[in-house]
Amino acid sequence: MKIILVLLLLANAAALTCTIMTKWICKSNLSGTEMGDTHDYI
Amino acid sequence: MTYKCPNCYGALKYNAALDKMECEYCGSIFTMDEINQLYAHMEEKTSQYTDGQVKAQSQVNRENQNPDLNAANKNQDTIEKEKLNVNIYRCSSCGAELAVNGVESSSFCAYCGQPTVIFSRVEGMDKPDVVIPFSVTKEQAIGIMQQRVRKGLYIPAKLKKIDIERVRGIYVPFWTYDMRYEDDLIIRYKVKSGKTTVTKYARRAGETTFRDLTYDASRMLNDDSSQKLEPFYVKNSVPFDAKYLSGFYADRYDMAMNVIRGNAIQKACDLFVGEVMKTVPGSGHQVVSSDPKVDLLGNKYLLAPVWFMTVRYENIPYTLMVNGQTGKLVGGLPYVMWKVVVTMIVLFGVFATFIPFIVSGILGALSDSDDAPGKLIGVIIVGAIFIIIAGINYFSKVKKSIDLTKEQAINRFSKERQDV
Repeated sequence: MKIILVLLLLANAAALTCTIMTKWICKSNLSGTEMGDTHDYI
Repeated sequence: MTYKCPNCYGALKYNAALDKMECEYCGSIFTMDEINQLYAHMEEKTSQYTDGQVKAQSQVNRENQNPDLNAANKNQDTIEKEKLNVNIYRCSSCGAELAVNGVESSSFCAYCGQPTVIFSRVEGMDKPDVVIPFSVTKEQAIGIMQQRVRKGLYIPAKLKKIDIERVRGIYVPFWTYDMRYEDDLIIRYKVKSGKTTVTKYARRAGETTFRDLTYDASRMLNDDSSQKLEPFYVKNSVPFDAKYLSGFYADRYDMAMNVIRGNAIQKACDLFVGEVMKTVPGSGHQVVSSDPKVDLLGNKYLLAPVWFMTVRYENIPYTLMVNGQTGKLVGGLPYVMWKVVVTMIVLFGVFATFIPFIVSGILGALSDSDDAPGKLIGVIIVGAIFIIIAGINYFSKVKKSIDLTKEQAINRFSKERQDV
């Protein structure tokens, strides 16, 4: 059980690392820009 | 046609910062009204000539001034060039031939650099209703990009010492739609109730009126790119006047209003549903049924200002765009892989060190419960799934943005124009 838990925690840490990294890249290289909000057209 | 300075006969360009026409040779500045009055006066004078010889001379002058030689000069040479999808006009300032693509309505002369408006393409049925003049100058647009690129942590150092290959101010054609949108939606969603997840249904009905919903009318420009440039505030537009085009490039639409009406309605639907979803609790929202009703109330043909800036990295051109009204920067630049890998190793080290402490703390707190480890494993697995989905979402955004920025189509959109 402990081994499973440790592996799962490591997998979770890896997933979290990748996600935070892609979010930072997204912010850094301008990819996060989105179109206007609904209220811009109403 | 080139707008001439009444003082020195130099070319007049629209100055976005001053909202006036400026002579780049003697520095004279004129308001739009002054230029209109001057040209109206000149027209009046020309029309007063009655002598046949003068009339004939006037006709010759007009032909020289009229840049649209398509109809007049249907010689073999012109026809051959048309086959290449390039039309030839004559610069009214120096008489040189000016090659423009099939949709351009203003450009520059390659020989004398004079800004030229191709009147036959902005008059009559092709005349735009409104134009949003450039309020962000070329220098401001470059400044916005340089400032933002320098801040980018993972952007290559070579790109930060940016050498901009090409900057072009282009008026991009858009259609704007006014429409009343009504819908009756059934939405499925999930909520947690104790240990179980319950599926529920919500009904939302409502209507709204969209004003000036914009959709780009250029076949050459990718819709994803143009939508990221939005919003354009059409309420700040002005009635079309060709003088605003002077000093910039401009295209006319090549997608008719009726052709993209369906896309505009879909955009209205997406915006409407997006707003409605905010009012529904829980997660996993899904539209089960909808009953949309649309009334088109009107539309306008708009020219919207965009700065296109091309930078080259590892011999690949990246074209970034700046909204010429709001200064919004759109694009996706490459990133340095080794910096990403180093950051990932550090981050992973931090998480791998601290997460077990947090988990053992939680386990200690739940020690009374027999199935505490099982519950925790469940939470970790669900958490990991959410994290991975978010990661994939971010990654696809990054990839799509970079692909759009280095796409050949957007590079061609900016490149295949007469250089000054």
